[in-house]
Amino acid sequence: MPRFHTAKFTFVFLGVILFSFFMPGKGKAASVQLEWRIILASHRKGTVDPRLRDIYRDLGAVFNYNSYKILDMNRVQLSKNQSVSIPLDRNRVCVIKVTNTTPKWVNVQIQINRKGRSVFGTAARLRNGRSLLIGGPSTRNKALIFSLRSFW
Amino acid sequence: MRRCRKTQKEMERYLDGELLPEKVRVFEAHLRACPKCRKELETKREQRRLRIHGLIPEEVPLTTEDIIAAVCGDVPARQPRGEVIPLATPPGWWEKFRSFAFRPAPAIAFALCIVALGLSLFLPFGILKNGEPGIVIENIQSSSSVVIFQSEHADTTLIWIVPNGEDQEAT
Repeated sequence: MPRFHTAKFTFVFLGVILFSFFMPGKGKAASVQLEWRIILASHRKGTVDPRLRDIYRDLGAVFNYNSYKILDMNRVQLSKNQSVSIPLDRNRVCVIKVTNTTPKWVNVQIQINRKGRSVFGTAARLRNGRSLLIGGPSTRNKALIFSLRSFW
Repeated sequence: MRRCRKTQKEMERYLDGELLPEKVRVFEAHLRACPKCRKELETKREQRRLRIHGLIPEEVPLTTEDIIAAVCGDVPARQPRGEVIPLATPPGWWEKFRSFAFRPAPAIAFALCIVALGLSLFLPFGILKNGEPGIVIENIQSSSSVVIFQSEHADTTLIWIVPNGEDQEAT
């Protein structure tokens, strides 16, 4: 009867552990899902959109707006070097490009263009589920806030 | 019933002396309580004895009658009938796995492997070490001034564009 080799199977299990810890990327972050929201903040007496509960406390800590309303919201799946253009209002367009992905981070480049001219640009690293907000300037007691979150 | 099946599966290893001591204790305890398994073991032991003495050909599947006949000196000159089934069936992978994984040390190792796999799958998704930021701003280019706010736990970062004449006009 063939003997069952304990040592052999222990090595296999150890191999599985090492593989799971050190496998580069694990294939998870090859593409990321970016969720963007365009938020209108105002002093109007109104409600806060329940879909903003993840950032409402942080918004409240910085601003004294009473109302936060989502004007537009969507999710896109992007791979490395892919980009998406999001119209913010009549004049401004936000272009988001994924420049790199790692198991822990996603690097994005955000460009806001007005009438074809770049007025704002940033490069940021985001962890899974964390929100980057870009807002302002405020006019007539209202402000547009652009929120970006990544998932993978 | 389940214990009987298990005992019968372990009989060959028991007779070969390959059963682990803790399993031997369980095995023998069951034999003391179960006459059916005790009889089965005696039959198997007798089969082995007869084979060793060459009274019964190796390839013939034995019945209790065969053994009685052999013991009484009346060995039937039988030819193998149909398919020859080996008495000691080699254990399958599941049997091997069970006999391995239910021992304490491998069971613990196996459980640790499962935990490690689970952690490696879920750790990069959210648990931040103290002081590790959730967002890192690498650079900013803006025609206006900007102010950066970061929440206490670095879950949210806000870049606020400070108005100037040109931008106010635009919004």
